[in-house]
Amino acid sequence: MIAIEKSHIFIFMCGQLRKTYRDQVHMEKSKTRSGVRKGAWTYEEDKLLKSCIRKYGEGKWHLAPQRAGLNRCRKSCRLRWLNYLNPTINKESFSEDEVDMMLRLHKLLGNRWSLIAGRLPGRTSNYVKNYWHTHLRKKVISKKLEENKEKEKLKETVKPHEIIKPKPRTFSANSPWLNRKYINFVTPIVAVSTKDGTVAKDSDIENTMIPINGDVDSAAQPYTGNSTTMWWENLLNVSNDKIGLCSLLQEEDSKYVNFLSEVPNVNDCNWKSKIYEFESILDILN
Amino acid sequence: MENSTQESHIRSENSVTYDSPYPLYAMALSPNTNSHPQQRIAVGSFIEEYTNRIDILNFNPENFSIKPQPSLSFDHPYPPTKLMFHPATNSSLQKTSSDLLATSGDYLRLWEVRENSVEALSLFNNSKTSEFCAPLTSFDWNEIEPKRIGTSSIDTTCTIWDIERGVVETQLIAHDKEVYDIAWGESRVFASVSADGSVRIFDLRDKEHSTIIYESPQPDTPLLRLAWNKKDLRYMATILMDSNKVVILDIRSPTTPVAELERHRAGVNAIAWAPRSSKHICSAGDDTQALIWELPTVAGPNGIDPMTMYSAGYEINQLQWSAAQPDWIAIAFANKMQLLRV
Repeated sequence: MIAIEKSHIFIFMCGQLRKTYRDQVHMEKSKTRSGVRKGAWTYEEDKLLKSCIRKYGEGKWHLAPQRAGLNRCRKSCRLRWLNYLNPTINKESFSEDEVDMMLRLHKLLGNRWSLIAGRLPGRTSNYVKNYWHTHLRKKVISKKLEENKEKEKLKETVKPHEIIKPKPRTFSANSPWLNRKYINFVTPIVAVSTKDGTVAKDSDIENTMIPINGDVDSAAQPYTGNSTTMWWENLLNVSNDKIGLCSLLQEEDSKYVNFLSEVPNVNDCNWKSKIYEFESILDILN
Repeated sequence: MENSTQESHIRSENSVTYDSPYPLYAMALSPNTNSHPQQRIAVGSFIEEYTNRIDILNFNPENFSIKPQPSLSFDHPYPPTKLMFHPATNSSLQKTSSDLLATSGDYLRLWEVRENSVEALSLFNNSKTSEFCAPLTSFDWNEIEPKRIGTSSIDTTCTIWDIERGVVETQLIAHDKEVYDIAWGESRVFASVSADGSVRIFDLRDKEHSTIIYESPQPDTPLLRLAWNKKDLRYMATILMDSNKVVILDIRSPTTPVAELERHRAGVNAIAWAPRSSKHICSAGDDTQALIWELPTVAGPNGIDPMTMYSAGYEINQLQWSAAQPDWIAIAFANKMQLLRV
């Protein structure tokens, strides 16, 4: 049995699913089409490849994955050895002289990393390239910007699954949604009390709810009459109810609450035993 | 509680308990009345491992018995976040002893629960580029148009599936954060709640817009569940994370809840409207209580008290109100599923 935080089993569950999903996507991204792993080498994989080369020697890379028991392609094994695992590689940080040499060679040769590495004993082309990109490339900012622009262009051209993002609308107090032109119910949900303490009449409410200047934020614009009948209309035209709620949050104003006329008194129904007694009433109303 | 004398309590002779070998979370009651009075119930395990179980039980309200159907138990990857039977009660789709069951979790899946076996019918993946789809927090089966299922995901989207053709009808970025629940109102109208703290309504006829009808008072307090009142579509109920409140919304008065039910003494975990009455809602939570509320036409000055209460003795995680037998409510807590007669 598991001991988890007792509350929010649901949130916990979502968290677990999210983690699993992340792992799945990560693993999926690290696979090529043929199903072999690509991407960063793990410590275990390095160990397997090293012991394989110790046993069989360098070369015959097409046999390496099978010999080492690795789910990697031969190219990946070869590069891992030549660029990282080979003990002749000098993994210390570049000296000032080496950096100077690298800069001068790059000016001469451009991005021809193996040629540059050939002049730097114990350094692999991959090392030189990585060092260049992490430490020296910043000095050639304009180039970098161009490259990035190209990448972004590439991204833009890839269009997967079309997903729509609806623009959310909110209501403000003077939203025309609340105007009775759009909402077709007889009694207001909350009776508005006016300054002199009397319950406002329908006409007053209508006035208070008309948006200022009739000019409303477009985000709060209701569906206009020329569009097809929208769902609200259907919903809101449900028979003018006698079962509606008054706003129960206006307790301090409860003396002004508009007592909907002829509310069927269901409070004395014994609901526990007879659930349907007023269901029939509701059926009639709806 | 001043009015506690008015409350009734569900007594133990009005309940039946099923003990599961594992903790339970998801639960569904079949609306299929073909084998009346027997009713099928599906329960999903909550085990923190890959392999989870879904068990099918037979409930007979006449002799208060719950019988597990071992031949109908099957494995489900990860705990299902939601279970739901096909909503159409007597459609031609429903063969006598066969039920369609949908589950959500790593994918949306459809299963056919037959007399003596369960068959996996289909698996729905909305990702075109990956063999995995973002995890689903919940889904809802459209009662009016049962070929439609809407799913909600942690990737902020809702996906509307045509399950007959097995294609995505629409995928919408519904919220700014994880979408936690989704509920259909009409055949083309659904609403969702999210970790961004909003309730939004969507109309498939106008996919360019959504309408925010409620936002949690403290910004970004997640909304966990959403229940649309099927008997009166103007009302919905939602619950906030770490809150003892059940928020009742009226879509005619957006932004301000029409009522807040605040008698739970700890966080609310589940809500369900009565299937045949527009005025009753049940809620259950970490205070171990299941409360049934009758929404009054006029509020008293001290808020609303529940009309019936039941204490399970454990934090209640799940709640379903039986559509086929509306005087029964099912709750799940710890390793148990319990049916209560109200």
